[in-house]
Amino acid sequence: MSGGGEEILLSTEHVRYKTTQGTLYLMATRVGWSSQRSDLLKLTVAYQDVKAQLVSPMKKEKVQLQLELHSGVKETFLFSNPAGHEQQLKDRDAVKELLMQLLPRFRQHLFAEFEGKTSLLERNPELLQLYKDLVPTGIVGADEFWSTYQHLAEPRQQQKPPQPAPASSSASSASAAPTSQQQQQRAGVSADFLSAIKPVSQDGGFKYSLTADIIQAIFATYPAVRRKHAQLVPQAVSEQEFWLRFFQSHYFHRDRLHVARDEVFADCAAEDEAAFRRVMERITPDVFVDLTRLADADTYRDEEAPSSVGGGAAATGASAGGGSSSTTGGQQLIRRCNQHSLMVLQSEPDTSGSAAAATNGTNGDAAAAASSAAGADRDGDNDDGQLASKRRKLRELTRFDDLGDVGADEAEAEMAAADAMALERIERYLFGPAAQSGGDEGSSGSGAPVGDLPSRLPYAQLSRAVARSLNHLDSWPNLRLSSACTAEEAVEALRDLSVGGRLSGVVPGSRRARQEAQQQASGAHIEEIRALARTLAELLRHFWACFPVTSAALEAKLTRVRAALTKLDSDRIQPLAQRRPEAVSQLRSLLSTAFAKHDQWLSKKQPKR
Amino acid sequence: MKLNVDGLPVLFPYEYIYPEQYSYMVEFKRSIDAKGHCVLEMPSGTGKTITILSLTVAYLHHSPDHVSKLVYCSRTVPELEKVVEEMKTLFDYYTKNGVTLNLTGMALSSRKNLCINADVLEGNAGDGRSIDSACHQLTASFVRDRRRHAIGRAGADVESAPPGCQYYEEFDAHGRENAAPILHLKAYGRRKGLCPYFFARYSMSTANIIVYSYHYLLDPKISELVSKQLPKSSIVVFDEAHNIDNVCIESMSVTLSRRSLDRAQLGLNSLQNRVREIKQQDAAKLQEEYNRLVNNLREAQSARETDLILANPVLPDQVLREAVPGNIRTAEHFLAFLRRFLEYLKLRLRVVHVVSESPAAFLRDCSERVCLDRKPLRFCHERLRSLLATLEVAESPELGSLFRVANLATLLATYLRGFCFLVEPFDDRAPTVINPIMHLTCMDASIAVRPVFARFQTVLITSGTLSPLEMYPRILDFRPVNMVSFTVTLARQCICPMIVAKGNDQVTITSRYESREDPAVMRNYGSLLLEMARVVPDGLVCFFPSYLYLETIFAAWYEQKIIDQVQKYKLVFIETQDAQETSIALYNYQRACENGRGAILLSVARGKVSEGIDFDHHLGRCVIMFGVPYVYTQSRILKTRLDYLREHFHIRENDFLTFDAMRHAAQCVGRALRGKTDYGIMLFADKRFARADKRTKLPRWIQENLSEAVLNLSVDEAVQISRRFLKQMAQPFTRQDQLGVSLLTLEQLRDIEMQRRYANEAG
Repeated sequence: MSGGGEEILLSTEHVRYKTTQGTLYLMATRVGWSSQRSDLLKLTVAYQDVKAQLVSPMKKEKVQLQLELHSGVKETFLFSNPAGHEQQLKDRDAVKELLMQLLPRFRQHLFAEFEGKTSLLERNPELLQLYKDLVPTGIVGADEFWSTYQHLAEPRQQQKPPQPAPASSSASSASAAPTSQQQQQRAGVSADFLSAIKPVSQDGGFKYSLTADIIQAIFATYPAVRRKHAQLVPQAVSEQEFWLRFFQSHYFHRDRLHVARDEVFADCAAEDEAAFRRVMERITPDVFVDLTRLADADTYRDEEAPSSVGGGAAATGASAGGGSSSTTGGQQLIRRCNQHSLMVLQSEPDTSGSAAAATNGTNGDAAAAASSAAGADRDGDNDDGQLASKRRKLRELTRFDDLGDVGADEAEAEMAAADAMALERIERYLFGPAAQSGGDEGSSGSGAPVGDLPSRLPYAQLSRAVARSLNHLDSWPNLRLSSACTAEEAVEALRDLSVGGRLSGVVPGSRRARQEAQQQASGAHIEEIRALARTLAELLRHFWACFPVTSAALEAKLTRVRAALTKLDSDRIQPLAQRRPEAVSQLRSLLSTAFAKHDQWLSKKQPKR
Repeated sequence: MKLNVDGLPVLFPYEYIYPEQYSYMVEFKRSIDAKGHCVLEMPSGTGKTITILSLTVAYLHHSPDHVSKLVYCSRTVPELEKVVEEMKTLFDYYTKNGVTLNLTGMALSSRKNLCINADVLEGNAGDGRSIDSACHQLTASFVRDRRRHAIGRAGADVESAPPGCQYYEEFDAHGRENAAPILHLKAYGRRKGLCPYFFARYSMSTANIIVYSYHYLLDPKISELVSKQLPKSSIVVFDEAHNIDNVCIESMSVTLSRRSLDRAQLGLNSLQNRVREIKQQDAAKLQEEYNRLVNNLREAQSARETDLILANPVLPDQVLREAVPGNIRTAEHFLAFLRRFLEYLKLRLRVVHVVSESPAAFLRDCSERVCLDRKPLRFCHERLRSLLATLEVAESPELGSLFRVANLATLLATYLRGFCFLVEPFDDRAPTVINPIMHLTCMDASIAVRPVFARFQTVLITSGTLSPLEMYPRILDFRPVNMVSFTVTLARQCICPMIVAKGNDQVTITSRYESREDPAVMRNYGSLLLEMARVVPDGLVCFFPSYLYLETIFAAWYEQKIIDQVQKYKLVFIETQDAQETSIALYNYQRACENGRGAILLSVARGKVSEGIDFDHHLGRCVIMFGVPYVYTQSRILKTRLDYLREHFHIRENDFLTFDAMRHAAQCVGRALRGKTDYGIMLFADKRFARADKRTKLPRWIQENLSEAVLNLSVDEAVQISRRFLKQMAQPFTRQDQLGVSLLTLEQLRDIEMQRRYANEAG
């Protein structure tokens, strides 16, 4: 069992799994169960593999919890605390609660990761080819593939000129850019999540199906329901019963006029109403949309005066607008719809809101919060604070951009100052990344554009690593540097030997032959060979990385890679070799070297056994 | 840029100018030169305000003896704030060009907006009426006298004295020598410890530019207090004047319910007690008042003759020539008189059927039943005001109701024409609920506005939507020297008006009363909304003819699951009758538009949203007008007004109704466009819009963009057109595209001017 040092969030004893008594552990990333006797975890399930959790109904004798996995497997745990039914329920609920919090997190995580990988593959055709070659053929596991390549691919992803939007939003946290952005861009709650629950009529009744996403949306939008859910489920009512009631409530039937007294959600309605009132009582932060302040009040206007001539509607408005209790069904519906939209809007994290406030000059929530914080003396200092943003908005409203500029250079400057992006490294915003040139060719030769590393930290690490390895070299006793060639010679030799070099190809030295070869290796072939070479290089990298074979895991890997190499040889290189032996000769020589090494290793190993 | 408008050098604070702005200045200047009134229509979002300000400021600067003041009236507080901001821009520009202006500007607003006294604001937040009365209780002259006495007596013991307002005291002591800043009056007041409200009111006499709300000029109850000292050589501008007749009528109408009568009763009782009290303590004071009343009005008359005071329609000339009738001169007699009148009103309110009668009939009935004559009734308002001053009573809500009763009496007894007395025992839409309401409605908008036209040399009526222009001089009863409707020059067609007349199933869509409940119509309206929600980015605003209809159709859409589908694309917000709730909805609508979610706002064509809120740029990419916004035609008030209009102004009922509906439709639709860089779709979803009588009443700038091809579209066709339009509009649009077409530099302007001059000479 891997990763022993994981934090245990919750452990519950007396949990039976497949008739064996044991302990259930909820850890940071997975669920584990061990039997009473052994310390080893008999069963581990990563959270991201869990599709759903199911609990047994309230009234049932057995208290169970079932985890349904994406693979279709269902793991059932029976809570059998000797302290009795009550205690068992309590245990189960604790587990359930925690799981409920944990699972969505991992689901999102998983989803985000998947998204990221897909887009990565889409952007990098080479990588996609590699993926196709390696993963589906079983040569390299998907995880292994990603662990090797993600870091390679990411700098490339960044190499693209930074788009303005991410640059501005992540300027403060440049190093964490890619991941944090994915988190920031959390999708909001869809406004129609309630109508997404389509009732299906089924033998006399209706069947509503809820997904985890919808529940999440409901909870995010209506905190009152979430609280209610935490309160009631599963002590008072079962999960199913709860949602059944929900579907009967005013939340779902928004045109329902009277909320039944005994209904579960009756007080939720009151609570929502109160929250809505609170929002209303708070002064509308934006004076430009405050209808109550539109008219310049004057002394003793008639309260009952019709707002427009012949406005019989206004007269009724005065009487009907009085209390919310006397509203008709239609008004109630409208009110609830407004409320719903408001709640949906509020369920979103307010980053966008404040950003909009900053750029558009509306006094957004920050100002609202300030005003509520300032409390009673809203006309005091806070008034001055609001004044600036109000003026900005006014100016924005009165200025005509296309008429050229008002003599308001300073105004412009002020606006610019207010809206300026806080860039940490301006040159990174203005210019694209440049490859770092300089002494350490080793690092820039590796293919990763050093200049593009998000911050200086990795570079520092890199240079330290280089220095350390140089030290190692110096202190290596057997090294006879005198017999080694110089760096220039080495580079030359490498160039000659690599594909297209002087010494590669069929007939070394013969320019004509090389040209012929190049002509022949045209079109699809050259592409095929190139891809093959890349795949092979990758595999060989894995292969050589296994030496020296020090552990069982490495040994296993070696065997696997060897098999993969053989497969590659027989499946793809051999057929090609039959058609164009000269094209693949270099690949074959690489292969044969590797095989030779492997055989040598095998023969060495054999006598040991 | 420095313009030459007909010989007048005008500084315009931008580098470029719209052609129509220049033409507007030319036309406006002609009217000022001719010392006459004018009606000018210029599309919304083409910079009317700055145009008007630039020209008048130049005029004030160069010929101060011809024009001495500019009174700029607009409707809503945000509008007024914008005017002030633009004025600031202009003043800055003058300073930058090295021209010193000897002009001061001043923006007057109500106490609600200007008060900085924390004690007053506490607990009264946002409630204009209670802030006013709280202010009265601190600053009325007798309160201050009492306070001064108390402080004088008690020496250092200030705490025990009646509270006062330190800001007012400071203003009274030192405020009068300062010049008011036009901006940040409140911040200035706070810094200097001055009361901004009284400061602003004081500065009115010296300021050259006054910005305030309509009511300060039109409402006789206020204009008497505030605006009476304006000189004749002022220019008055009514901006956003498309509804000015309604404002006039409103300011002259009184509505009383049973509740307000009860309140008036309370106020009356308290006054009576007060009189009894004072009589015991200080009978001389009342006697003094009596004496004053015997001959006081003479003074007012002499003031009127020297033309210092703005004529007050409530207090017509003949009233001034007479003394207050003997039977209401003593305080007790007057209160008894009022009590009797109040009882009579209560009696009139106790009816089971609708009563509608002329003021003459009312007066006759009144004198027959309770023996109250017309003459003393006419003095009610004046007498009550005088009594309150004598009794040293600060105003309160109860007294407000009493004032309304007195107002009613005065109006009824003063005007025998143009008014109508109406008692409705119940609302027509809820005939079972007894809720008697009494209206004294003014039917003639010209009554309130006549003094304004008579008094000032130039009155400008302007708005983005004034078509048809001929209507306004008729209903306001004045003779303009100039009436022009400007169109908009566009470099790209950034407005896209369309008339959708049928659904995809070819069923005619209309909000006609007979077919508005038709499920097919509702469904088609629903699918229109749904399709547009799918196509239009960001904000989409819909207007309905009435709140009732909005409610019905929303319920139907909910039933038909249309709302659910719409929510898939956008959040839905709806205007309600509660202003506070609507403000919240509106605020969140803007938030949703701003954070990219997109939203739909459903509102009512005559509601607050349609009259006061702009939906510029992304806040309103599309406006849908569901149905023709006819006023509720069954209303008795409307009917009497229509009759009156037909008899006295020869305006046919249908003409007026259509005019009224179309101006509201245009108003709603025009909300979406602000500036030439903005763009928006304007959808008229009713077959009736296509008829010539409706279409021709739209403003010229909309009509010109409404081609024959888009008069009878189905929902699908409209969606196709919108899609194409939105794609076109999404292309980059630069100044270069506009230059020479819808935007002129100084050189281009000169060229055009020269051409025109040559053309004139040739012609």
